[in-house]
Amino acid sequence: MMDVSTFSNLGIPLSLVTQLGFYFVLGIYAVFTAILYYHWQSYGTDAKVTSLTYIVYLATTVPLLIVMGLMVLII
Amino acid sequence: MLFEKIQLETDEKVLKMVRKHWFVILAELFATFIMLLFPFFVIFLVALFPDSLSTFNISVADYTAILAYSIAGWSILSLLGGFMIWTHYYLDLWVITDRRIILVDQVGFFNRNVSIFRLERLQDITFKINGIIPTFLNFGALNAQTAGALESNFKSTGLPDPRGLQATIQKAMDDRLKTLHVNPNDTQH
Repeated sequence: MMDVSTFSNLGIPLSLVTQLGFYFVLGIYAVFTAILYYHWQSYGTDAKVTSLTYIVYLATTVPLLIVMGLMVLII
Repeated sequence: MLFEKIQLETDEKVLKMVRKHWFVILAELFATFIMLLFPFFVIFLVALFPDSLSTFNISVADYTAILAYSIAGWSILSLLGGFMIWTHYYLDLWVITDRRIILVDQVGFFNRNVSIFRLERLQDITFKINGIIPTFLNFGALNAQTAGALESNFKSTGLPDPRGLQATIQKAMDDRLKTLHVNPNDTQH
């Protein structure tokens, strides 16, 4: 069986790679969320659509982030 | 909200607010949908040919956590792309009032054009429906020329019912000119 505990032949632990990947995605997510919030607050025309967008956004992305975080802990 | 920023004039009435046709957003979001399905498609292919993995001495069971991690990461990035498309679609807007046409063009998150054209300055409005799908679903491009020297044309594509939109603008324009003809001092309002 292949050894999955180290990344490639560089000897970098896979857990570190996944952790860094998670922080990278988390950073992108935080910046994107701030930009999205600003745009909808500033330029939205309908409060209901704005709220619905926030709800769908959080409901679809937050569980995936949690899954990613949990997998980082497992790996 | 947008109208606080635009600041409508006193007694200015919004006649119509138009966004691009639903087919435009559907076509764009379809790409996001395909992106979301991509990892599952790969897994499906792997499951279809399990022998190919045994050649590399790899077992999927050993990679469950990494797979879940990768799929979650991929899905998040795809969803962010989808929400970006949705934001661009929804915040791209034509507001037709009884005095002006306000064009909000959300090109990118950091690229936003807001143009205002007074109806009395409009000279010509043309629409174009080009293609099988636009013809069946009734959407197309709208072109307008104003009396201004520079930036005197404006064009928007993918607008629903361009014929009806043209008629609305034409009527608003005629009404506006009538009002101005009766009361020429009204150009400030």
